[in-house]
Amino acid sequence: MRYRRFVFFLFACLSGLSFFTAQAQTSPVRGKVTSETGSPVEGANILLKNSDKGVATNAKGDFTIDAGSGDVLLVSATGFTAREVPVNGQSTVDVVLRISATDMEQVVVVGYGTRRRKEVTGSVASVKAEELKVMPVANLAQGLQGRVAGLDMRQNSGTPGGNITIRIRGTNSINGSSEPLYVIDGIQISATSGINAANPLSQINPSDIESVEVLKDAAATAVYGARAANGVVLITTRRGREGVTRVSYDGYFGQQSTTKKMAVLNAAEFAQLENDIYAPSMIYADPKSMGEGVNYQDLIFRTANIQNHQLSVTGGNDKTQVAFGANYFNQEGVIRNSDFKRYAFRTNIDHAINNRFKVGSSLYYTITNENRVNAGGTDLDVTSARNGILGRAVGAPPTLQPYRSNGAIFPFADQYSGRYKEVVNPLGDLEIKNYNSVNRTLANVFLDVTIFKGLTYRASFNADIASGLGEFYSPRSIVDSNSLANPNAVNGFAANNSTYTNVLLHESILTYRTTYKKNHSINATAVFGTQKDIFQINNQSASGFGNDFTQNYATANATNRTVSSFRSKTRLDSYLGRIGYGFKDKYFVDLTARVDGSSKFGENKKYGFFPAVSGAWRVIEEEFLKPSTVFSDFKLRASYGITGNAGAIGPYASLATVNGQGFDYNFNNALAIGINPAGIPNPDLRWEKSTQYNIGLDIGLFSNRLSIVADYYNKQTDDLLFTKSIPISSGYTSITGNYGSIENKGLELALTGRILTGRLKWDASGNITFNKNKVLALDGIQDETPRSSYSILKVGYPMGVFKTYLSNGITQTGEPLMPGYDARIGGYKVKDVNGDGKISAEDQVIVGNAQPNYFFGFSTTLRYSRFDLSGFVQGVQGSKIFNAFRYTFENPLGQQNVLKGLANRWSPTNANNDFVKGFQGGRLPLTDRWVEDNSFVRVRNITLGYTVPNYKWIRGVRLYVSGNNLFTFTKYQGWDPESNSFSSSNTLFYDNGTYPAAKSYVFGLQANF
Amino acid sequence: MKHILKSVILCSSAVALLASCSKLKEDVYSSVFTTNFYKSAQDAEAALTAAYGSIADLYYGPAAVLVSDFSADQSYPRAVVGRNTLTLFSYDQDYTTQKSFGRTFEGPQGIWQYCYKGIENANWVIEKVPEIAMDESRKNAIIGEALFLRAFYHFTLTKNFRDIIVRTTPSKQESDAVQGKSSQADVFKQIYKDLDEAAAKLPSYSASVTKGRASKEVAMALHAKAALYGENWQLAKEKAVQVINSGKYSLLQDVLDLYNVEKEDFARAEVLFAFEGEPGAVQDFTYLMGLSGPRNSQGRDYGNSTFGSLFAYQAFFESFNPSDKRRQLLDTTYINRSNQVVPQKDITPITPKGVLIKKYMDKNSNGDRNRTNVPILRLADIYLIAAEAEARLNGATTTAYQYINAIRRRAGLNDLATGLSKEAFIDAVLQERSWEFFAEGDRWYDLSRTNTFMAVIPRAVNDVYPTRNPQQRNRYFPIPLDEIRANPKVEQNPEWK
Repeated sequence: MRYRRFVFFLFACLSGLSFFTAQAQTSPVRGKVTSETGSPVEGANILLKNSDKGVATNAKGDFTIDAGSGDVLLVSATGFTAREVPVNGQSTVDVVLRISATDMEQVVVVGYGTRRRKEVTGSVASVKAEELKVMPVANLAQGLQGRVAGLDMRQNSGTPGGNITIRIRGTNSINGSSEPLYVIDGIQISATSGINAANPLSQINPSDIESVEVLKDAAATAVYGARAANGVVLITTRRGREGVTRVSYDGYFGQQSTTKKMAVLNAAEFAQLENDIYAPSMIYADPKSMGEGVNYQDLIFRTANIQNHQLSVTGGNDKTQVAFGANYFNQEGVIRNSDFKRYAFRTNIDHAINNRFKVGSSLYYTITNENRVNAGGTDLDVTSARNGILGRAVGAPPTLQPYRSNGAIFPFADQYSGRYKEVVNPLGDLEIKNYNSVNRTLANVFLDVTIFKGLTYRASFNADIASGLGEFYSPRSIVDSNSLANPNAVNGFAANNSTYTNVLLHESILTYRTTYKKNHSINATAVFGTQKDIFQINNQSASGFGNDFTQNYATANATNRTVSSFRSKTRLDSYLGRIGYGFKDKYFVDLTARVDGSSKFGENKKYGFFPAVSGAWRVIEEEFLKPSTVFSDFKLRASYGITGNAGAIGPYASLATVNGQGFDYNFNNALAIGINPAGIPNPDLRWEKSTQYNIGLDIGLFSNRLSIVADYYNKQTDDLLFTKSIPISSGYTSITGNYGSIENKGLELALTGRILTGRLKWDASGNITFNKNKVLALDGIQDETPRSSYSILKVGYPMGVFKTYLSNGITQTGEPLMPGYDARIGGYKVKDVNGDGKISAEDQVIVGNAQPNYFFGFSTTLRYSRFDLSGFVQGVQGSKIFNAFRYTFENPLGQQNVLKGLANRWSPTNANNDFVKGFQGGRLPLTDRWVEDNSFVRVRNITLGYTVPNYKWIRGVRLYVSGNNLFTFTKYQGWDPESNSFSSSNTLFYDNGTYPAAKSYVFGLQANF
Repeated sequence: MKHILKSVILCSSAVALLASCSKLKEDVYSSVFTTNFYKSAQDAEAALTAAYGSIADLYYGPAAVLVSDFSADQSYPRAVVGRNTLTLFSYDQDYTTQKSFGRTFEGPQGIWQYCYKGIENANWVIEKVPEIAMDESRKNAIIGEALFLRAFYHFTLTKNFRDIIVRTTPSKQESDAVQGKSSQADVFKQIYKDLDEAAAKLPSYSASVTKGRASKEVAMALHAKAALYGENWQLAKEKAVQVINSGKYSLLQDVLDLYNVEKEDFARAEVLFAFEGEPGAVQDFTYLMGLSGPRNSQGRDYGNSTFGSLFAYQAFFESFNPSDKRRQLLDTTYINRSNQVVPQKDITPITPKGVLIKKYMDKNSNGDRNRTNVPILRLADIYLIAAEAEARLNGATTTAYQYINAIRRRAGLNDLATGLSKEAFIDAVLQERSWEFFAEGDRWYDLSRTNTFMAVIPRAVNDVYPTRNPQQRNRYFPIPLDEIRANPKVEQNPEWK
């Protein structure tokens, strides 16, 4: 008995299945599992029906199980259709399994309904919960990063709860949002909707998610009409199922640390630099004696904790099913005084009133608390890198002291007789409070009515209600003594910003499904929707406090107070019809048409029409392919359609508004507020229009052990919201209208393989995307327009083109000074490209662009016995960025520290072409020296897991350790190759030193009860 | 099958109709429109304030001062952030360098943009305020102020760019935005017309006129100055004399009091109209304090955030008679925060001959936010306009001498030598203007209107700017290329083509 138990234990180890114990009245049953072609199936699971007992087949397909003569064996294996085989008293039971079509029968959420995978004619990628659960992620966006072809996702800031930009099939807009539409259990959320928090995905707990569908082509997205042009991400949360109640816990705890610190001058080197810059003044009598000094980066970074706990309960009976979830997530930032907390609660209920009526609801409530630091200025000024916390820490003179002897912050202005009053003590910066909390409720109730068999009506009511509070306080305790004593200085600054978003959406959905004479399947949907968005913000700010005790909580105590408020409302009415027709599961055609009317659109263009047509041919169903042992699936898809991007337009943008910003004047020594027209109205203002066609291929090989999805797309976006220059003499510089055009075309390839399926299981999947982005037209007046002092938009080029001077070393002693810029001996030399003997705008040339040539993701999992090991690599190749941080800290202009390289700066006795001589207040010419390749390959995650044998009621316990962002291969010299201070911009690619990414080690536990 | 589809469509459209009764009109809430604004006295005041707002823009950078004074022969910039293009006459039609350094706000393009914004805002007031039911006298004054502002902006434009676009109606739709140029003579006609109407509507100056607002005398003073530039000597003289004889203003005894931030209200006896700076939260203060104070905010008396970016030429400093009180508004040393005297050689790293300008000091500034005002029209200007206009009409008459000597005596100088020829007298007036109005954004326009810059500028050099060679086309600035690109009706002034 002991031996037998041991054998069973081993089998259980192999199969990962649970079992309890053998029962006395059984006898061993042997058998062999083979495929239709006769080959043995290894690793097939043999289960006794209605018990927990089970074994798995060995490499020859053989198995032995103790079974009673009346038992039924459940035989299943990946890639095969499961079978039930009665024992019928036999001692040998051989089983032939048929290659399954389950992948094809899988249900895919397509927006206003579902389809079987094989019926899908558009380009839809699905990510299942299992894939998201492999590695611990702070939010869904991180979980999706690198998983789906066509999705370019980059974490532009490592700030806890921070933003990830998502571009589905390239950037489709210049001035509008290029973020996709998110639909969470039917609730439609634009990334631009009101609330300050970066990305709605940071407010969604990834553990609650059942599946994510990414809709990419026009056929798939057209059902969302005017908001679909950037693609759609459908998120479905878990719902209860009929059957056993499952309780599960999923949690992890870990530590994070910064991936990088910048090498800077030490105090001795800095003191020497100061002396050089201000010569003949001797700022420091004996530079060498200053030694190492203070490295302020060591004072702002920390080792930070991260933890996540999720408890879920699902269950139900035939009438009612429920799912509950509770989540706590807490991430400290690697920079002190920054963190992000999330509390999330979820309830999904489905209840059948009778055969005809069914009701359900989803309730999702989150509280997020974000504590931010000033990480990276987003000012276009190339020196604004100094204003972020990283800039402050790198630029802080190492000769200065962080704290007074009593432990208080020591303002730099109070040291060295005010010499460094323009620089801020970074520790003082960290004392500034900047909290943001958001309470958000996503609620959905629906009623399903089955009118007759096949025809159902759903009335759905959704609400997305969020309120946010931003709190800010800059204390007196960090102000220098001179300013504290100045009667005209205002010390202590507080702000409270309350935001309130209320989105109500009603949708009526009629769905009809039928099969006619077996071969004709019809699937029709009609939708009416109406949505109202209200956004309100109330700001109060106050300055001039006598003390710090009340912070931002008693603004009435301040000497100056200002208030402002803003409210907007938009309305969207939508009408949608979709018909799908299938013939013999072989040919499919889908027709979609949506009309969207938005209050934001100009008077002359209130309604937009968005049609799409698509078809699929499942070649695998053709007689000539059916016998193939190689192909298990073969499908061709094609689609064409038009979608819109209304997110480009803000409310009231088409109207002749007046505002009170910037045109004020002082009368009687007091400010009077001026109000003037904000611009010239444009009654033709409308959505941006994307026309896309897509050709796709789905192939399954070797019983779907290898599957390939390939898509070619070509998307042209016209009527881009763009500012057309108008004569400045009109009083305005531009008018906003629909002028530009851009094109994105590309190729997506996704491969999934079950390479080994035996004792050692090896799965791997990868995807790669090539996207080419090109500006086809701007405002029709100019074919080139500056975006910043180093970048332009130009017809025929991708967005984010860098145009700068060319760096040409350093002007050496005796060399003539080129006129036209601030040339000097020992300063950077600029190339006179057109050879006219002076430097002018004509010497600026295009030096690269920010669009990657391709990006990819690769993940792999090895499983052996109870162990699993997975790795995930992501990369972006061929993109560039302007490294403004390095530009700022390679400039020895005095009173700020610089990068270590400057220790070897140019001097008459140390001629070189790398680092310039110090020059007080100097500016560096904007050259290609700072346009850097930010391609990278990143080992995002490595996880090792172990599944613990079941014990009594504790089942499915998995322990894991996980390392995130462990290795990054890049030539980029900034903090992080994914950084971009202008993450929300489509055209600005500029790194001011955003919050750096962290690497982390995490220990996790998953358990079911 | 058919009837099912039919019913689907019928059903859904019924639901749709039910729910879509409301039109997709936008609810106003926080956003007011031009059609429902301009309805009350408060609206009128706020709209007028917006028309004044461009003065704050012109004097923040301050383009209104720097465009002249970086170009002329009194002061020069430290050559960073593209500031030397005016001094070296190396700017192009697109003002590329200033744009690439984000310095449009202190260059000619800034003047173009701010003035036209001011004109647009004034035009809305002039068009809309007459319909408002409100106190008639205030309504008249508001329209008068708007007319004055429109004239002031047109004048500022034409003295910089010569032939410009005259705009007298607001831009209501895209097609309104494109309008063609007028000759300078026609520009002056419109300016005189606006100022006549403004003077008729505005109240005469008194203590009850709000500080910062234009009065009848201010409109007349601008009229005098515009006529001087328009070379209508008779008109210039007439308006100048009207202002002087109005008895509303007098020259301050001590010229230094004009620039003492603590005596701002006292100085209103002479200063008719000024940019009003305050250290508040918005940028309604002038950058001049920061630019002209010593680098690193190291001066004890200059202000709490100063950069050492604007200096006077040593030769200009030396051109003053040492007994001229106005020379005390320049300095070759300063006292630092440790109460030590900083010698001239250490004022700035760019030259051992740094000369500081002391017209815009506010030692209690809140950072770079300061209280200093920048004079735009003051009585001394009107005296010298009168002197010049009289001389141009009648030669160096006793009357002409009276006007210039009033200014010289106040500065502590002897009377001008008698018996000067007409030309010599006019040269003396221009020289007097140079001493009187340096760092007030006036000198370049004297040099350009008299077309003397080609002779004067090449001699105004130092070790920072050893050669300065303007060309004839530099007499007026090129119309910004951004205007020309977007405006099919406007061609560049011929010298710049």
